[in-house]
Amino acid sequence: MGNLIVEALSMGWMALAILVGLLIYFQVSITDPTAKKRAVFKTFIGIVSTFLLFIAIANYKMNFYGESRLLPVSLAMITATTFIMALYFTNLSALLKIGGFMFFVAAFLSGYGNWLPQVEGGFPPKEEKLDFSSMTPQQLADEGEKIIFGGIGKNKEQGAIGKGQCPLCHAFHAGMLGERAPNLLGIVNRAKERIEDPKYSKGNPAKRDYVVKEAFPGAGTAENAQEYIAESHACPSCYVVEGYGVKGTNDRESPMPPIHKPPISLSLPELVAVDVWMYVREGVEPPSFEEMIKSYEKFIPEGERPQLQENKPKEGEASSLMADGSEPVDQIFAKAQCVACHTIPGIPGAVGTIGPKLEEGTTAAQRIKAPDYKGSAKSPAEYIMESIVDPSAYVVKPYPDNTMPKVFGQKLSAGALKKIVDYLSQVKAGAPPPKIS
Amino acid sequence: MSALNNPIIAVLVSLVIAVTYFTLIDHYLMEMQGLDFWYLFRQ
Amino acid sequence: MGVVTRKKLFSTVALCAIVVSLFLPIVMALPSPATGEEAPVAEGAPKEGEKVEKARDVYYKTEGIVVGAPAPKTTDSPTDYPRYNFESRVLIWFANQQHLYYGSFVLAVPIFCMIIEFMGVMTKDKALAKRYDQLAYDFIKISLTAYSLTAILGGILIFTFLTLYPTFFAYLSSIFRPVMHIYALMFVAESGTLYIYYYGWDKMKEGFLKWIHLSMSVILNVIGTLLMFLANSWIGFMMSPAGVDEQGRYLGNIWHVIHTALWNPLNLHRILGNMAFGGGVVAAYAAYKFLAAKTDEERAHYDWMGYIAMALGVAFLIPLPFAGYWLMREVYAYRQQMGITLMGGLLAWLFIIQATMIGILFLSTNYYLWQALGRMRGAERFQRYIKYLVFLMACGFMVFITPHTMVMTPAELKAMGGQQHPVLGNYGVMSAKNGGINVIIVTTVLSFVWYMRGNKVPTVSWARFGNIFMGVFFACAYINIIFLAIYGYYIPANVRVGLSVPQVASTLSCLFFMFALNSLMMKGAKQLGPIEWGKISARSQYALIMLATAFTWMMGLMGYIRSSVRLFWHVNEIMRDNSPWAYTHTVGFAANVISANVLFFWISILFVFWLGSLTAKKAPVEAKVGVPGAIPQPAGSH
Repeated sequence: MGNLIVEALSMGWMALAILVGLLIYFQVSITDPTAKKRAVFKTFIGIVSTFLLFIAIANYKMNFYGESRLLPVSLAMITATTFIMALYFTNLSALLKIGGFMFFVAAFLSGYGNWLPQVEGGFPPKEEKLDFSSMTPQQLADEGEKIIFGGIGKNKEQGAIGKGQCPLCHAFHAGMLGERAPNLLGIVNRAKERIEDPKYSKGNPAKRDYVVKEAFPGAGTAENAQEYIAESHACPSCYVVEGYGVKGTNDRESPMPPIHKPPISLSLPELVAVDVWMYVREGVEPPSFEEMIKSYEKFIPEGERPQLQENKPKEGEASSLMADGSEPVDQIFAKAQCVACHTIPGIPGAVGTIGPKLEEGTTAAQRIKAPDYKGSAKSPAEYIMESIVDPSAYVVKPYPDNTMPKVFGQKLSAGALKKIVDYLSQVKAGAPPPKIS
Repeated sequence: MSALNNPIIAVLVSLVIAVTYFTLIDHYLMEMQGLDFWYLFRQ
Repeated sequence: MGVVTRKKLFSTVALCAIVVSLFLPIVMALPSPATGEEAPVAEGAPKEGEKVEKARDVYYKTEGIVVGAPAPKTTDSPTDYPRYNFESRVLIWFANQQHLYYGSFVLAVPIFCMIIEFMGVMTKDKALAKRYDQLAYDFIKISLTAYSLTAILGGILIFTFLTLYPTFFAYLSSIFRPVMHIYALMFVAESGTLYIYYYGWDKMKEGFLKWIHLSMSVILNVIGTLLMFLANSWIGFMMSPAGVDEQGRYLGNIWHVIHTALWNPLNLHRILGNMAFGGGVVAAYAAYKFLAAKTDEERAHYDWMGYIAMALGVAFLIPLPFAGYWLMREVYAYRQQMGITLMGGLLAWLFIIQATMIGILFLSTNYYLWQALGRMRGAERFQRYIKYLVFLMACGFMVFITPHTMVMTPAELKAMGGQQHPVLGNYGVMSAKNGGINVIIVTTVLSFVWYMRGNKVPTVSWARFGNIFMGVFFACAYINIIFLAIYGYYIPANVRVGLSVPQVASTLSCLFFMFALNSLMMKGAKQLGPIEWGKISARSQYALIMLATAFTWMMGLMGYIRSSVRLFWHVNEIMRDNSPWAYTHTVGFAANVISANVLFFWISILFVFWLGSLTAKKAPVEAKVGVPGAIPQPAGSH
């Protein structure tokens, strides 16, 4: 307030000085006592009004870009000013009153606007077309780290995860959790050993004892380490490391989804970037960009190669939401990549086995009643919401804790969450799946 | 016209007209959109 | 008789010729680029040996020959975004909004003039006819000063564009080059017609010439409307581009560029909006004159003027929500994402403000009508029922402003126990909202019916039945609307939308049938007393000012919403906004800027009114001095 008065005085001192001068002038020049009294009173009111006016203006000047929500108060003050003036300037009173009333209406409306919760639309995502082919290995490795962990230097953070979703299952450092998938430390060297494994049947895919024998008919097998890594991304079930197959298949099938296909859909250059990070972090010189791209082209037929996403911002994606709730529920499951880990009846492609099968219409109620349930949910819907937003509140046995990312509360809009909860609460064991709406 | 000046008859006649009119409006305009009064029960 | 008919025929033909010649440039301009073959010639023949490149229209999906350059990729630099020490976006916002306010006022007033002049010609009552005519003349006089201001503001707008967004403006004008000159020529035609219309008013006062004069107002409005359509095509293009390929290259079909997905809904919405806005401004002018009036005569005149302006404004306000509904539907059809950003995303709070304002507009209209009952003898019998109307409106209003879904943080979500409020959330669905607004409109219609009956008692033989029928019809309409609103809860969301159609039909039936029936019943009705113009309370005039201010504010708000839904695009999905102001402001900031715009407009237009009152004071003196029968000099219009 003090600042405001100082600012108002510094802006309006001239006008005020003139009015004070007038006050003195009237005091001196008018002899008739009643006329004098009136003139003096009018000028005094004028001074007060002018002062109010300048405070109002000062408020605008100082707080225009600020967080202050009190700007409309200025308008209300101007209203007061005009109404005071209208009392004394009867010639213009209609004009002043109307003007004052308009200020009042505007003050009310913008006050209303300022009273509402304030949402600011963030800046659009930077328009950068990443040109992976011209990057140095270090730059590529950085991009790779971003894809795997969501940011440069985040590889040692527990729970850090990028669009590649790799750390959901794989561990990347010695001693880190990874019972669903092999630890990838040293993979660039181990790859050479893997292709010599008799089970891998290098050069003779037909002899393989896996669900899928080749990435695509005629693709053949890997001839070198880089090709092995590429094949593992493109066709996880072409070779399964012992102990990491889908339970009950005797390691003939891998739980890992092909990474170039939806929902993860990494493009070839992105896959290369991921690989480069793995080479670079172990101090191994990676093959050239072109060679690595070729290794992927060997296992991914042309029609299946996803376009490099130019980070082309789609409408409304000013925020970093995975799904905003406008999509049908199956797309939300896909976008949030639930389908990679969970089996969800009725959702195409949701055959993941890393997390429990989601038949929450049946199971949610049982889980709340479970003796070891410590969460705060009272109803199945609340339980589902809690499981999404705070996965560690209750972990279904025998699945491990800390596998599911804890970011969905931020990454999904309220609408999307609601759709998920609605859908899941209708899925009942043994009943046909609900319709996708 | 004299019969219509009887309030009870007037109310009845008006009711018949108004209710028929709004029912028709609802019916046809809902039908245009593949809806009807019994949508709720059929689903 | 024969001579007169022939004369009439001749003038009609002449008028038609004027109209046709006005359309000529458009007709000439359209087909040649539309064929796509001559266009390159028009744009400067392609260099020899250069291959003709074809590309696909982003919206119409047609193939076309690439004619223009791709949309420039801007960077945050002084070449693309030169700036003063202020946010450029706010400056352009201000310039645009002021131009738009004056523009819509100037476009709306001639439409009023046309209607009022026509009413004057049609009225048999000579005194009333004269009053109507004088009123129309007064209207056009106000708009003339505003007209030159509009032109000045248009110039300022262009300069602001050129200095602050040169790259973007260059791109837009390259796209619209084929129609730019049509636009300019139409502007000249508009000015010319307006001046002839205004200065010829007294010369063309009598008989057949009056008809010519009246037809001229039609032409004036046709030109004005076309001007606005052309201006709309720019914003339509920015929101939902068409006629260009993915890189923003012009494909030679100017009609595609103009006729984008949102062009027609915008046109309709803007015409109606302009009319309601113009009505508001004129009503505010009348209110100002009323409050400043010294004599009863003046008060009576301006009371009447305010009433007419308000009635016309509200007549266009009532269909406005439906036009808005159409626009919204087209937005959803064009890009669902855009619709969601508007209604359920980033900009949703602004729609809450809008809903509040629609409520305020209807409430102040009703308040005015209730107050206006006070100037009629015999209207006292309605006073005690008004409280029920207030109750109905308040209920409708409450339901109407309740939001359904909002952007919420997970914490807020948890606190509320779901995405919707356990109780209130139920009222926020579209079904209930449609019910709410329709109840409000039907109530407004009811208020109007009462107002029209204020000092009259029907004498037709079926009066009793008529009264009962109207009562029953209104009751059934309310019941039907509310029934449909409730029924909507029980059927899935995607089909429930369809229920709004019978709801709207019920409202419109009330509007048309009840007005028609009422005027039939009021034929030869017994008057309980005259309408005592000027006896209305001063409060009612503040309702008019409220209406006008709120409408101006709402226009600013909707314009802001419409413009900011593009988020960080200059031209949606074609040209990115890479300036430092590509983000969306908070609701509060937007509200402050809108307030500033509204107040600037009103202060300036009050100043214009005040200027007008200066000359009006001079006029009687001149009249005394001047030769009787001389043409009154239009005062101080430019």
